[in-house]
Amino acid sequence: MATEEKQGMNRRDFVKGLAAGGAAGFIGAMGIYSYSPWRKRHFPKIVSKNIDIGECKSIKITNISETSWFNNADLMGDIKGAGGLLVNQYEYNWPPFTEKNGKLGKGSYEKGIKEIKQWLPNNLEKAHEFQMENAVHPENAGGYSCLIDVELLDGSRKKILLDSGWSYGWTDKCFKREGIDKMLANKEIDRLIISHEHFDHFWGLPVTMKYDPEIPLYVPDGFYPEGRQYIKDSGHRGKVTYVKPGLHPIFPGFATYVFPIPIICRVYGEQSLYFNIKDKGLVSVTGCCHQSIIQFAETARRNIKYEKNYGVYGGLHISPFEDWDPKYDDLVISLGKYGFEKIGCNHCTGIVTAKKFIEAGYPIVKGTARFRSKDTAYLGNGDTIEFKA
Amino acid sequence: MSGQYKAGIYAGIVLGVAVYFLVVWALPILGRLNWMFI
Repeated sequence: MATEEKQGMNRRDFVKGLAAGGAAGFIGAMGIYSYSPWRKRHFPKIVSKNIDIGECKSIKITNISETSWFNNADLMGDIKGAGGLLVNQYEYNWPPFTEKNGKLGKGSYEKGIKEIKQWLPNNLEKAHEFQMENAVHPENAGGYSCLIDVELLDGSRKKILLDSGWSYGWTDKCFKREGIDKMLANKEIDRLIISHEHFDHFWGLPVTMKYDPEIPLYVPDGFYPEGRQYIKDSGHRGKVTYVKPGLHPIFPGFATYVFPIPIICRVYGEQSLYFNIKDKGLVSVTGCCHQSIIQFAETARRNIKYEKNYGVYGGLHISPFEDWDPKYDDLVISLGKYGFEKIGCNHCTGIVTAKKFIEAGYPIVKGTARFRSKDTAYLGNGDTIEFKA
Repeated sequence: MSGQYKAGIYAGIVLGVAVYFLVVWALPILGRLNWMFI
């Protein structure tokens, strides 16, 4: 009897030990495995297409305007009031597409353009005046635009305008401040690239048309009928290229990439830019980066032949409304892994994010906070950044 | 702690590690099978 009890105890002890040891062994193996190189065995192997886009000598970017709007609360209030983030942007009754005494969320492209078409593109002051009187929060409209001055290997230069702002008044003022008006009039700017159809990047199009209506225009293929019509109504008379999703080398050292992605306010597709600087590496330039900075950098890695990441410029779309969520920290950490040597961020990156980048020790190029840009933590209006060997 | 308990722990650790790796290695293989034809 005593021996049977003892055997029972021994068996119970063994089973208890087996259960504890089994759990410890399983969890321990999990831990060791997740930190070992074996963990990558299930990942698909990434082989870059290594597309050669050539090289250029340097680029200099002038931030014409990064302040797309001036008051976050007004902008978000309007979007919520009109029905939320999926509402068609042409229905807001924001400038320039406003009817008389425009009511929030009750507008349309047709009603708005009818009021201003007669003044496009040569009498924008009149159109601006009408918008200031009738649109919803017209004073909140700013715009995004930058000039990229590229030096090719043979020493020649090409100028690219990325985006054309939003408010006619603000965009024109910024163009004049940076001499863009004269460059356009003298045909010094080779092409206008529109990153995406959002109001703050595209709706100021007639301002560019006022100075150079024949400028070659590159827009992502996902433009909606209103956007396509607006190009015509703005007075554009040059060639329009609707860029299909994927990589598009344009001249040595420069290519654009269209990401086929849905974006808030009923927009589809974003076009970003890659420059390959000789002896330095790749510079990625973006309007808003709705595709996310990770996809932007990964797309380069999977498609383009280049030595290393050198720099990035533009809106990185992390905290455009200056909010913060712990998951954004992952983006901040991830950015560090790409080894950028120079980061010029602004616009929808968010000031909070720029400060987090600085705290993390990233090579952020600071700004001067002039012309209504709010903080020196990032490149503001009128600031410049150079990427060269 | 009895000798049996200790022996159980050692055996359990070996078993736990074995089961984990079996799961990690075997599941993707099983996942590739077309279960409709089994």
